[in-house]
Amino acid sequence: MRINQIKKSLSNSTFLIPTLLFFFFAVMYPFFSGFNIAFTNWDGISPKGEFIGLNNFINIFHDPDIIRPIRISVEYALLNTFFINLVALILALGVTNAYRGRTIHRMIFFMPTALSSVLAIFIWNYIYGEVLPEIFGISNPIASMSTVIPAATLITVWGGCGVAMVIYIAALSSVPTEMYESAKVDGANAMHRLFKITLPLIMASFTINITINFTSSLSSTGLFLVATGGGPAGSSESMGLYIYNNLFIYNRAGYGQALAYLFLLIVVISGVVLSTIFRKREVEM
Amino acid sequence: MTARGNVGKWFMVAAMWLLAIVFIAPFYIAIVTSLKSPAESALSGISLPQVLHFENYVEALKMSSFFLALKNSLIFTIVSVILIVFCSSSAAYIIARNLNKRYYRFWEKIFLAAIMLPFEVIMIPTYKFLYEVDLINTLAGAIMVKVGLSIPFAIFMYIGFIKSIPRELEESAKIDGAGPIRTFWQIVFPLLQTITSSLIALQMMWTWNDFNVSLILLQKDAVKTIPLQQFIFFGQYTSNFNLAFASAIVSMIPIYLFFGIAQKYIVSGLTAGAVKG
Repeated sequence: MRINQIKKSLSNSTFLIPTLLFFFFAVMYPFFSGFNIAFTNWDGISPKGEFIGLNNFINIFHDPDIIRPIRISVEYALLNTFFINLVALILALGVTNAYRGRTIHRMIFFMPTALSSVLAIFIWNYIYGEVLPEIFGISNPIASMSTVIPAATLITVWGGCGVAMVIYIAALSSVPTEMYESAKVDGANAMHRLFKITLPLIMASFTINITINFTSSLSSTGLFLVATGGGPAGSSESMGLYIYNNLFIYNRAGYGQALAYLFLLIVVISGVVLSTIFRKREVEM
Repeated sequence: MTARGNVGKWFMVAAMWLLAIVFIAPFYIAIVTSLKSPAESALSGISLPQVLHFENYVEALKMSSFFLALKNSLIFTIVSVILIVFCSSSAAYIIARNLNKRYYRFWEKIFLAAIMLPFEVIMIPTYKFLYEVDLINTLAGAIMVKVGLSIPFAIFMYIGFIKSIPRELEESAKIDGAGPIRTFWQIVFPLLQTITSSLIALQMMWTWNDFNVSLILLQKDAVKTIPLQQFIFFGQYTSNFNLAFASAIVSMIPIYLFFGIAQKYIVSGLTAGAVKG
């Protein structure tokens, strides 16, 4: 019996070990060894830094530049989450109607999701720099401090709302059609049906989409690095990009890592808050 | 009533067509620009090309070392996805079948939490660690990190699916004397086909388009993947948009070839993930 049990747990381990190896070296070890870095003044170049205790964490509160990246990330995350979900919901409501062309529309709206962020940004930078000035006579919106965040948001709404749309379509098609029929009989118009039946019944998909969009937009690094490099004049240096710059540009990797943990705290708190708010409003079907 | 309904529907369909045109316009601009000469696109960014300048493509391919990047991207993507599926399916199986035990529930929770972990949080220590073990600027190092980062989501998807599969088949295989490893790969794994194909499609797309991991870990030309190589290339050729767009279009070809085959699985994977979450 005993031997059998040992044999069983051994064979169970063979299933887990490959996963745990990858997970350990790629996630757990960096996550915990990061504290070692955050307690030093490592510059990111020399082999290692000196132990400076909690100084990096204390310095965060004296960093005059710290508010800006947080503000930028939160502003972008709010805009991006709002517009991705608004546009995705409109698209999903549209293509779930019966009309000729809805299949091809679904495909077109989903197409940009297959592009890498680099490609999407490159195309839009050209549109902003050359095409929009030509058609509307406006100046490049991504090169101006006041419009850089909305301009970056438009890129990710175009590139990302296909995923949210697919999730909304799945939720919409699970709403029983009898409910619409009986509401129609009762004389409810389209707006009523949308706000009183459809939206409450697909609340679960709001929870998932909004939570995922918000937390992932908070940690947007590549977008701003590629689209603007953080400019003009630092006006699009997001949290993630600020951490990246501390490693590769400012040579303050220890400080960057302390920031990374603060950043994780912000992401986790906002994720928990958002999902609790929306979970409460979910209706059981 | 019906007349009003018809007007409403007509308006809705017109709006959808308009939105579709807006969504596809950037692709149109990319394609026409890639076929124009610089002088022509300076005149207008949206007009059709007068003469098709296919030589843009030839030159872009020569300059951007596209085929080296394509090879790196293929290795990075295919090896990562195979490892992700191999590791996470078997781990998820053992976790899903032992959820009554505290040890396995612990791992389930850890993987669930890790899905939300942004790469930025471990970016600096990962860079340092790979530097110390000499795996920086190697595809092997980047693959290891990508697999480790992708496993939590894949495990989460597999666990949800495996829970819905009855155990009877495994029990009877056990009675026939098959060991657990053979039981899993010969009996259970084939039953996971739906979720496996969705995961392969999603992970292929995400790994192929990965930017964050490769940005930090693959900084030498010899190991650059397509998104990274294009990041550099676009930075250098801002003066010649036509060449840059030709190179952009070329790099879209593999994505959309794959997308044409796998879109169905990508959509079902995203839906399954959202429903479980």
